[in-house]
Amino acid sequence: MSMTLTQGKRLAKTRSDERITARTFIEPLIYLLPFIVVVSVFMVYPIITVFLNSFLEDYNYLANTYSGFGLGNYSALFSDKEFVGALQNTFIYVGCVVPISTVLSLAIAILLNKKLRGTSIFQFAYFLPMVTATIAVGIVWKWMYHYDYGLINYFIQVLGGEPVHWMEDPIMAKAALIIYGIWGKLPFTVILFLSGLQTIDEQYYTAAKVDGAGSKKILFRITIPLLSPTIALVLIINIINTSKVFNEVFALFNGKPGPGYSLYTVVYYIYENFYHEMNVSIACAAALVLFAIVFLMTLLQTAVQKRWVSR
Amino acid sequence: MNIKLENVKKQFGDTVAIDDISLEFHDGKLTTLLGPSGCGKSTMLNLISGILPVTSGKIYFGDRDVTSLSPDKRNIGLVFQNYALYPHMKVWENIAFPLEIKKVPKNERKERAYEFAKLLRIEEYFERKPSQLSGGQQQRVAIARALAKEPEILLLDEPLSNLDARLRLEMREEIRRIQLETGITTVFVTHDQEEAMSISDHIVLMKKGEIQQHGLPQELYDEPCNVFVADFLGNPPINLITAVKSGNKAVTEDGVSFFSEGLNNVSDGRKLILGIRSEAFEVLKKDEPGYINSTPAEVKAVFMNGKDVLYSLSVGSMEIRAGFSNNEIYRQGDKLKIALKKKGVHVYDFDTGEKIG
Ligand SMILES: Nc1ncnc2c1ncn2[C@@H]1O[C@H](COP(=O)(O)OP(=O)(O)OP(=O)(O)O)[C@@H](O)[C@H]1O
Ligand SMILES: [Mg+2]
Repeated sequence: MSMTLTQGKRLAKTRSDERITARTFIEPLIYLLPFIVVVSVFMVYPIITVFLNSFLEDYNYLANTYSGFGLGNYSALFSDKEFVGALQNTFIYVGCVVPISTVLSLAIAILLNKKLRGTSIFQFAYFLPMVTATIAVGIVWKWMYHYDYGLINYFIQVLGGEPVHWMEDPIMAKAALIIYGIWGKLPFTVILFLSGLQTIDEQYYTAAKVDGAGSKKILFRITIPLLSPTIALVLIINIINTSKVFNEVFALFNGKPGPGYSLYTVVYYIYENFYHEMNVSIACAAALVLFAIVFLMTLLQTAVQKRWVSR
Repeated sequence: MNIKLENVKKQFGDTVAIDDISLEFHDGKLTTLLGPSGCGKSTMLNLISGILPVTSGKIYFGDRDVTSLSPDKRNIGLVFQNYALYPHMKVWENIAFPLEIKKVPKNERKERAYEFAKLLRIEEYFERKPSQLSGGQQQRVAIARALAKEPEILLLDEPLSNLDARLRLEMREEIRRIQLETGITTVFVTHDQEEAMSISDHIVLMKKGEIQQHGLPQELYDEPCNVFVADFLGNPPINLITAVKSGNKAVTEDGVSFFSEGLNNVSDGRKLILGIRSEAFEVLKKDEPGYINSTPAEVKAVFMNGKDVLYSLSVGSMEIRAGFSNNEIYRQGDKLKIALKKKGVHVYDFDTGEKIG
C-alpha cells in the first residue's frame, strides 16, 4: 500500500493524466481562494441580489419587506414613460457615439500609423482624454460649451455662425453630450486600432501597391478586412460602455440629466430610482433590462461578425 | 522584355547596397541573383520592381526608361519570400486580385484565375482560404497571382526558402516549367548556389553590392574568375590551398607540392591560392605517366552518397575533398598517389584573389 502511494506521488509529478482525486481540486482552490472571495463578494453576490430584487413585489428597502415574487416591476417599468424615454435617449447616444467614434478613431489610427508614428505631440493629444477623469474634464467642457464665454461658440462666431445654446436647448444638449462622448471614447479606441494595424504585415500593402491598388481599394479590401477582429472588439467594448452613459451627463449638467430631463438615460433612471426614490426593485429591474439589451446587442454583433470576419 | 541597368547605385544612408552596377537581363530568360546574405540581392530586385528608388543610374525595360516609374506602372509580377497571400481572400480571389484592381468583371476574373490555377496545378483548392493550404501550395498561389496580371517581368525574392528540402526541389522544377511554358523574363533571387545552378539560364553572382561574375551556370562553375566565385559555387566546396610557385609546381607551407599546367604563366616565388574542384583529382598507378610527380595522400574518411563517393584525404597537414572517376573504391587508411587534371584547377593571386592561371 505504501509502495503504491509513493509510486503514485512520483507519477503525479511527471504525468499530466494523473488520477483525479479530491486533492486535484483542493490545492488549486487554495491558490484561487483570494480571487474567488473578492469576486464573490464584490461581483457575484451583488449580481444575484440585483437579479432577485428585481422580482420582489412591493419591496420596502428600509424595512426589508415584500409581498411576493412576480413580474410587476417589469410591467411597471415599461409603462413608465420616463423609463421608455430614458431607453430612447440611451439608444440615440449609443447609436451616434459608437459608429462615429469608431470611424473617427479608425481614420486617426490609420493616419498615425502612416506618417505621424511616434510624434509626441500627437500621442499626448490622443492620450489626453484617457488620463483625465470624466468629471474633471466635464467641467472644462461645460465651459467650452458656455453660451457667452465658451470656446466653441467663439469659433462658431469667428466662422460667421450664430452662437448655440449648447447647455440649455434640449436638442443641442444632446449634440453636446454626443460630441463629448465621442471625444472621450477616442483614445482607447485609437490605441486598440493602432495595435491592430501594427499586426498587419507591410508586405500586404507592398503586394497590393505593386499590383496597382489605390488607397481606397487598399483600405476596403485589405486594411479593414484584416483589421476586422479589432473592429469587432472595439464595437463590443464601446457598445457596452456607451450603454452605461451617466458620468458624462452628470458632469456636463451639474448633476442633472440635461435641460428639462432631455438627457435622462437608463443608468440615470436607475440612479434616481435607487438613491432618490428608494424604488430599489424598480432600479434592479431596469438594470437587468439594460443588461439584457446590451447582451442581445453583443450577441447580434458577434453573429454578424462571424459572417463578415473571415480570419 | 529586356531589363537593362546602367550604372545603378543604391545607398541607405552611408551603406552602399548596390555599387554602380551595369547589367542586362535577357528577354525570356531566367536570371538568378545569387550571393551571400546582405549582398544586395533583394535591394537589386526592389530597384527593378520600383519598390525602392535608385540613388543614381538608369533602369530600362526594353527601350522604355522606367527609372522614375512607380511599381504599378512597370507591369511586373512579384512573388514574396513569405508569399504575402491575403488571408481573408479565397485562393481564387487572391489570384484574381490584380484583375480586380484593373476592374475586370467578376466572371471573367474567376475564369482567368482558374486558368492560372490550372497552370500551377492548384485548381482543386480554388475555393479554399490560404490558411488551409500547405506551404508549397501557398507558394503556387503566390506565383499564380503574380502571373495573373500577365506581367512582362516576373520577380521572385527567395521564393523557396520557407519550404522543406524536398518541396524546394519540386517547386524549383515547377518554377522552371512555368517560366519555360510562359516564356516570361524572370529574375530569381536565392542564396542557394545549387538552386541557382539548376534553375538558371544566367547567374549573376554578387558580393557586397558588386557583381563578382555573371554568365551561364556552367561558365561560372568551370571558369570562376576569383576565389570568391570559386568558393561560392559547387558542392562539395572547392579545395583552396595556399602555396608558393616554385619551378613547375606549387609548394605549400609544409612542403607538399602539386604539379599543374595552370602554373606555367606564373612567375617563380609568387604566393598563390590553388582552387581545386574535388573531381579534378586522379589516382595514379605505379607506371602511369606523371607518377613520379604525384602527391602522396591518405584516405581519412569515405562518404558514400548514392551515385558518387567522396573522400576526405590527408595531404601533409591539409584535408582535401576529392572524388575519383575510376570505379575503384578506396577505404580508410589507403595510401594513394594523386595528381591534378587539367580541368577544374584554378590559380589565384594570394592577395587579390584574382585568377592568374
Ligand atoms: N531599408 C534599409 N535601410 C538600411 N539598410 C538597408 C535597408 N535595406 C537593406 N539594407 C542594407 O543593404 C544591404 C543589402 O541588403 P539586401 O536586403 O539587399 O540583402 P540580401 O542580399 O537580400 O540579403 P538576404 O539574403 O539576407 O535577404 C545590407 O547590408 C542591408 O543591411
Ligand atoms: Mg533578401
